[in-house]
Amino acid sequence: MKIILAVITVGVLFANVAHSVPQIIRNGFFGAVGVTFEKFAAAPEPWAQGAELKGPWKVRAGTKGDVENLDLDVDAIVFGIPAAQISAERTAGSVRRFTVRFDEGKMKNAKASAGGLYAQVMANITALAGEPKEVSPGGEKAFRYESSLITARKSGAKEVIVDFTPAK
Amino acid sequence: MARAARWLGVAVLLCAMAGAACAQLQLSLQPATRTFPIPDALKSVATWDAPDFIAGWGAVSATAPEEHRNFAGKCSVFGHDAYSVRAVFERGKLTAITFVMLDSGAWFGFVPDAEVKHVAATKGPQFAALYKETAADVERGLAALAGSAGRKVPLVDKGLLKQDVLVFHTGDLWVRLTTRENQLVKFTVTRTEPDAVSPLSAQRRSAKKDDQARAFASRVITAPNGDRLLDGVPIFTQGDRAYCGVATLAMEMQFLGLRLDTEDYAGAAGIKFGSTYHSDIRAVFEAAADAAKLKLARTTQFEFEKARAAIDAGIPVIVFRRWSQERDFLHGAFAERFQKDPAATLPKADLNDRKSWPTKDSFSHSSLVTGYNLARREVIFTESWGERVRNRRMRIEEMEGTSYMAYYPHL
Repeated sequence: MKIILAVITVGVLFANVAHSVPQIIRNGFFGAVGVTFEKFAAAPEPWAQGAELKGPWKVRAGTKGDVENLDLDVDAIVFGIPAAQISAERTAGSVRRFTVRFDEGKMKNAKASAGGLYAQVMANITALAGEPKEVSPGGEKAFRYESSLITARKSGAKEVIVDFTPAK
Repeated sequence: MARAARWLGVAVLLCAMAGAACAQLQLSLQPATRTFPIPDALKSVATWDAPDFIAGWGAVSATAPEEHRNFAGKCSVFGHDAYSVRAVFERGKLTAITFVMLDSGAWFGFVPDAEVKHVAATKGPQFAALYKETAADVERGLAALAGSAGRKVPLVDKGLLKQDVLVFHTGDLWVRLTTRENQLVKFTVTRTEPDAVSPLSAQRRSAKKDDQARAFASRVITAPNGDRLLDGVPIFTQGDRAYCGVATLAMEMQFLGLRLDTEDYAGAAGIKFGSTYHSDIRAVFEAAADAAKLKLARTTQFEFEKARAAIDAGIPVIVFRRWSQERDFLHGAFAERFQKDPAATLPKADLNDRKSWPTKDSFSHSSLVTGYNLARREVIFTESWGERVRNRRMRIEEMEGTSYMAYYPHL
């Protein structure tokens, strides 16, 4: 019986070994623009006056005055995590802010990471940008990364919001 | 069971996607102007030693015990474009060039398990005809260069990697032709006959065990920051092929002097029609160790102390582990930041951080452990995705906590 169990155990283990290895490099935004979203938003170009907003964006209805709200019209992985929504705020031809919304349900390893979205986002931003420069009493963390200021906060139990604004 | 199969299918699909992306990236970095000198490079030592020819392989160290380089340009041989052309340099001297002329994994690309029967039925005959034509053209071409038919030699005489090859003497050089029915056509050009007829490097063939151990250990370097690293581990990019595990195996075994390639292991494992369906990679690991005249210890979880002893002895460790895209980003981003800021640290392996680790529900993946830093409590590992993923870092606790199998070859 012990031998049979050992054989079954080894068999189950090697059912996985036989296949192995994953990684996603390509995604919608990356495919369209040729760079990951966090690299795109951290560069100086998107913040320049009158700069073309690369990628497929849709202007949201109900624009008032010279403030436009746009939604990215393609999937994107940001900080290695699938974004639920990405929007841009543009005023008088200049982008003022990108907002990325993460939803725990969209994570590839959602089951494995139940409750871990916030920890994952923070760990991944820190890995890229270093420790936060500021932590607000409400728990919002601010990071400086290249030409952008990144702020991240929880939004409800299963969402995290990350804003990119130009670093001053 | 069906669920497990689905996850495995997705894992292999993602693996193939990664390979494709890496392949595209590499392609764009290669100058396309250089043309491989055929037939001179198949018969003339003078060509091998010509500076212009050597320049085609990129910078090569005169002192490194061994380096593997891909030819940066197009190569057409006997009427067929080579899929890859790779050279081995030993202390700066070119000692072997391997041409992969046809490989089923590359030709079919990744094929999901559910489609393999359909693909085999519809595209299989076309590939079989191409295999027949390529194998015949290459054999005929080599025979013409040699002025005689090849001599049949058992390259590996037993086990899953058992393989007869044809050996030709072409001018100053020797050529070993490997064909695997409906799978692979490749040939390796060497300077010497012993290199052509043996799967082991000259150093592994001739040296005593103690000398071999010293040669392995001499490749361990200690960096000023305390990193203990294996210098010169080759990276074989899997490309758009379901070859993750076998590519890692090839990286390990070539470093240890076994001159077999990713494609040899894929064929032996039964990866056919672009699919790993019914393949047996575990058996190939054992067969490779046998052919390399090495022992192969195995644990069902990565054990740092065992890995540390292996690295100190100059031997990489293969780890099978759970993988998630989210966590992979952290390792990639940290590697990038660490280059600029050597004081940067990975997250502490506390309860909060563990929430982000992949679990048994995540994908499967194999990596090569190529070093460690005891003071920083880090494992240094390398992937089969290209140079940009060499020597990433992970906390020891995470490697132990996310692994499910590890192999530690030893003399």
